[in-house]
Amino acid sequence: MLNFVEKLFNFEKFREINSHFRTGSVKLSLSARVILVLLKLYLFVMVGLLVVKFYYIFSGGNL
Amino acid sequence: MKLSARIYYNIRKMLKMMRIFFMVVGPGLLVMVADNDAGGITTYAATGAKFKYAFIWVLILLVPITYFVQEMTMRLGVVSKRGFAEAVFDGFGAGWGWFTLTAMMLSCWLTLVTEFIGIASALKIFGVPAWVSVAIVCMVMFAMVASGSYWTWEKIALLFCIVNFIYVPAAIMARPSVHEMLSTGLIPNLPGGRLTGGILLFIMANIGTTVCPWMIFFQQSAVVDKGVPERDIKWSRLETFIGAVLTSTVAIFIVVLTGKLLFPHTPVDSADTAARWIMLHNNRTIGVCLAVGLMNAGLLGTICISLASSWSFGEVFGWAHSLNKKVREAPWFYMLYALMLISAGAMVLLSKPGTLILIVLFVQVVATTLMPACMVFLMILLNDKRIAGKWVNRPIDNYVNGVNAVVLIALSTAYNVLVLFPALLPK
Repeated sequence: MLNFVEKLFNFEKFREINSHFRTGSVKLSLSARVILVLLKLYLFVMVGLLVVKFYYIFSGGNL
Repeated sequence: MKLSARIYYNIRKMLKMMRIFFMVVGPGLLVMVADNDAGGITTYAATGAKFKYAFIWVLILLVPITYFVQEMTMRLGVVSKRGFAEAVFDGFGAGWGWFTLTAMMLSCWLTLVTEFIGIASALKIFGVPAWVSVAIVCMVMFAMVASGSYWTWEKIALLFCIVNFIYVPAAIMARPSVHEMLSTGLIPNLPGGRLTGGILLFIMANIGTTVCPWMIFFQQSAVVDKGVPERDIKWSRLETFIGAVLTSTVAIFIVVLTGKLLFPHTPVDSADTAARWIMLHNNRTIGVCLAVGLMNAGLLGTICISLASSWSFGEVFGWAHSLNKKVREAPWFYMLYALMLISAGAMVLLSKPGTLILIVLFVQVVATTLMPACMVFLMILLNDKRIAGKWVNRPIDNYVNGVNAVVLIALSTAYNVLVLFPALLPK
């Protein structure tokens, strides 16, 4: 257990996970790739909106 | 064959089928009934109080939507023997994996806080202080997993599911007009005949509270932990469908209850307000039923959501993550489970009301932001023959779920924009 904590805090566990799942194993068709790009765009916009909302909340704005 | 022999054979066959079904029953039913969590009860109560029976048709439409999403989840869990978080890491790489895991964790924790708010406000009606409620919930949750057996945990959780049906007798006691319900609720219509910003927000809130990302994480991990074999997929499908019907049925009864007793003069912003108002001005028994139902809904939500995150982290970090393991065998799994519960409970006790309102606002936004990503991952994973084998999506599955995903994405986007920036609401 202590070994695990040590691994966790020097990010070794994260590096282990990243190298284990470096690339996805799923076979992506062209349409799936396009959908994933659109999904990235959607998430970028939504996270952007959340950031704007937080900015207005903490700056006392009234949007 | 003699008639008596044929009857005997058919009865035996039916009994055998029922035995298999009751062995499989669990994750699908549990996730669907728990879907009517504290947030859901509040949304349905507010919908009934504001629009009476006008949106019953929306709740009926949600049956196929939730069924198709959860059926894919169950199928992926059974064939891949992996929880959703691990499946995303494996299928799409670490980048998408970390995003999904982080967003899920945030979404689960925020939802857990709302469950605690629901439980505390329901028990406050009976004079129980918030800190006592939080302590009781944490103790019940720890007691449920202490047996070190998935089977025991599942059966206790299913007992809580039965209490969720308290709304059915409560609604019947309110004596609603069946004719009015059928004539105004079943045919798709909009109150006032036009779509306003308020109506749009209510429709989207009803959909958002019924189809949530934590349900995907929970059901997939639960079928893996339970060890449902591929040959039982048809029974799991049936269970998921029954669950979808039951969850909408309970939702409809809540709408009918508040529609009958609170419409049109008592707008409510939470289920505990509705319960208090009904207890004071109408029928004490019905009000008590509403409060007990709210507490139970919060408990069911807490049961499922706290486990969804522990399972997911266990899958990705590679630590033991099964309810069949004792605490000393899976210390990290139970530690995360406890941490989620205690931190969410502490948040409810220590935060100012303003912070809690902010959490309630953002919980839906985070969930609806994550939901489209989950839908896309599910569909892509289930179209890969190497993962799904003979249970790969058929063209009809792709068509139905594709339409489902597009509708959910459009509504989620609109909901998020309107919740974050209400000034944009059309008057």
